[in-house]
Formats: sequence, structure tokens, C-alpha cells
Amino acid sequence: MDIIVSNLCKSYDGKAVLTDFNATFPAGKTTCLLGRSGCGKTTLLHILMGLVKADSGEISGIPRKISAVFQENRLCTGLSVGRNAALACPGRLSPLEIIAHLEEVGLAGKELLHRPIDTLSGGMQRRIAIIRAVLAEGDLLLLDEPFQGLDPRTRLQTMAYLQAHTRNKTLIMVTHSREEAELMGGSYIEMQ
Amino acid sequence: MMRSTMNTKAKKWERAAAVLLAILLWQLCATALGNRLLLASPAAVFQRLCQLSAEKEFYASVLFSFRRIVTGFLLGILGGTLLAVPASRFRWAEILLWPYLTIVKTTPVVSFIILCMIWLEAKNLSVFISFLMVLPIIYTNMLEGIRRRDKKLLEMGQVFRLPPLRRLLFLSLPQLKPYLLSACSLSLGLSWKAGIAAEVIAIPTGSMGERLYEAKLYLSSADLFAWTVVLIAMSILFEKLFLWLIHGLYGRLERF
Repeated sequence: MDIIVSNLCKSYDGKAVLTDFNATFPAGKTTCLLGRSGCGKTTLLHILMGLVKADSGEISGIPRKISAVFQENRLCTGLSVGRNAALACPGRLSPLEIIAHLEEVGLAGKELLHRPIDTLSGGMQRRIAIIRAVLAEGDLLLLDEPFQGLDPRTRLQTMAYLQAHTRNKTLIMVTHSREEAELMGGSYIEMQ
Repeated sequence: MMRSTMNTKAKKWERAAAVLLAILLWQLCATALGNRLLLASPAAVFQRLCQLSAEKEFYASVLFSFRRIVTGFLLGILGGTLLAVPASRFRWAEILLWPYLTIVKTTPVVSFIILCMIWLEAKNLSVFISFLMVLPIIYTNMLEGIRRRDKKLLEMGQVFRLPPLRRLLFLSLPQLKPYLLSACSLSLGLSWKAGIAAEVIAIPTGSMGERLYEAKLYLSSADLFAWTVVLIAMSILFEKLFLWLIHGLYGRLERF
């Protein structure tokens, strides 16, 4: 089912962030949201996630199961890499399955599995946040600049991983890079 | 890492040296006084401790007090945590709880012991008193911990629709760890001190408190010191065991 956003408005302290925003996000496809900083991309994602209430407007077609990569990693400090990666997974995963996912994004899985998440670099943590979103098996993936902090090679590898594991799922991705949007395929919306 | 291990080892040696020095000072004072009734020497206390440990009643007394004080301590953890949950969520709950917890925190323990002697059996008094001493410490720390949880992590749990048990185990408990550990460290020793004080005043048959009271009654300072040594040892051992268990449980939670 397509996600349809109609006449969405949101303002913070009298400053309008979204004004009569309309968009259709086709089911099973990738849609990238492009635009300058402060144009309301993250606000729109937060509204779709149910974290922020819109002032007015309508949204339909949001599935029950949502996965997300937030602007910040939002990983559980203190927990191991494996625990964080499998946190939102509905079923039980074996260590080998997690290791396979880690290796797909260029991380030495076996060595990392039991390491506390806070001992990892920013780029490594970012990839764990992406794996967590993939393993959560959501029907809709909301991604807020998912590849930030990754070097070009790792970025491509992680993109390939994301595409391979989210076939036929609805993806809405915020990005500043048109190149990233093109590489992820699908359509894109320029937000004003 | 190596430096920190060396520092820990050095600290242990320093502490052991300080304890030895204190025992030496104690021996000097006992020799200077020359009166076993006023101050028993460390050697006399050690001798008495060896005699006591050969008695069956010694272990029965230790077990009697241990069971009750530990029960009170664990109930205090449970009660403090259960009260902190609604207080963190509803302001009215915190306000309603405030007078009771302030009274428990500020009233001298002896007043509670004497008051509770009217209501409770002597043998159960130490359970209630150690519970009372632990309750406000756990409550205050857990309330602070729950309030300071990372809101962004909780939002993440909400977006992923994590089941309540998973949210509790993996989002809340790891964030509460420092608060729980600090509250437990603070209240462990206190629960032993207050529990034994309750036993000394209520004198339940077969307790460590009763043995301490008898030592005072018969002016046997060797017995008094020997039981005090046992008390300190029990308190330290339980603290180490309990914190080890907590660390172990957290370790299982944190690893994959």
C-alpha cells in the first residue's frame, strides 16, 4: 500500500517547517528526500515514525512494522555489538547469522560480536545501526542520512547491503547527496 | 590497562598495610591499658574467634542474622524500585510518597527499632529495619536513574515497537546499572549495621545481636570484638558476593 501524505503542516514556535506538504511514497520502492538543511526532512520522518504530531494534514498507508536509522545512531551503550544488532529482530538469531551481516558491511564480525558498542568508531556504529534496521524486518524503512560518516568505499558496500536486504520494501531516505539518491535508485523528492 | 591493574594491586597492598598498622596500634593500646575487660588484645580476640568458630551455635547465630538482614535488604531493593517506577511517571505519586520516605530517611534508626518492637516479633525486627534503611536509598537512586534515561533510546524502542520485556532488559536496565550499583554499595553496609542494632535492642533468641548483647552484659570485650569482626566480615563478604552477582547478571545481559 502506498504511503500518502496530504496537506501536512508542522511548525515549531511559530516557525513553519512543513507547509501543506503532499507526497506519495510508492509501496515496495525507494524514495529519497532531498533538500537544504532545515527544510523539514527529519521532521517529516519523525512524523512518519509517530514521534512528532503534525499540526494538520493526513497520512495514510503507514504499515505497523517500521524500521529506522535515525540521524544519531541511538545504540544502547553498554550492550555488545551483537545485542545491539539483534535488538529489534523479531526472531532469535544465531551468532553466525549476525556475523554474516557484519561481514556484509565490511566489519570483522567474529571479533566484534561481543565487543561493547561504545568501543567502536562512529562509522562502525553507523553500520550497526543500519544492520539493526535491516534485522528488524520492518515493512517500511525510514532512513535519516544513513551513510553519514562512512568513507566512499564503505558507503557503496553498505548501500549494496541495504539494497540486497530491503527488496520489495518501502524505503524513505533523507539525504543531502543527489549521487546517493541516484545510487539507491527509485524516485526522489526535492523539499523546499 | 596495565597501569590500572598495577594501581589496583598497589592500592590493595596499601590497604593491607594500613589494616596491619591499625592492628598493631590496637595491640599497643591493649598492652598499655593492661585490662582485658576494657580492651581485649587482637590476639585474645583471635583466640576467642577460633573458639567461637568451633561451636555449632556460632554458625546458627550467623545464619539467623544473615537470613533476616539479607531478606530485608532484598525487599528494600524490590520495594524501592517498585515505588520509583510510578513516582518517575506520575508527579502525584512522587508527592504522595515524599512524606513517608523523608520520615524514613531522617528519623533515627533507634526510634524505628523501639517503635517497631511494639508491632513486630523480635525475630523479624531486623528484616523490617534493614528494609527500611535500604528503601529510601534505592528509591532515590532508581528514581534519578529512571528520569535520566536517554529519551532518544526510548523513542527508538517505540519506533521499532519493541516488546515491553525487551525494552526493560535492553533499554532501561543497562542505563540504570550505575544507579543500582551505587545504591546497593551505599545500602549494603547500612542494612547490616541497622539490622544488628535492631537485634541488640530486641534481643531475638539465637541471633548475632543477642550474642553481642550478652558480651556487653558479661563485660567480655573479647567476645564483643570477636562478634564485631564476624559482623564486618559478613557485611564485606555479602557486599562482594552481591555486587559480583549483579555484575554477572549484567554481563549476561550485555553480551550476545
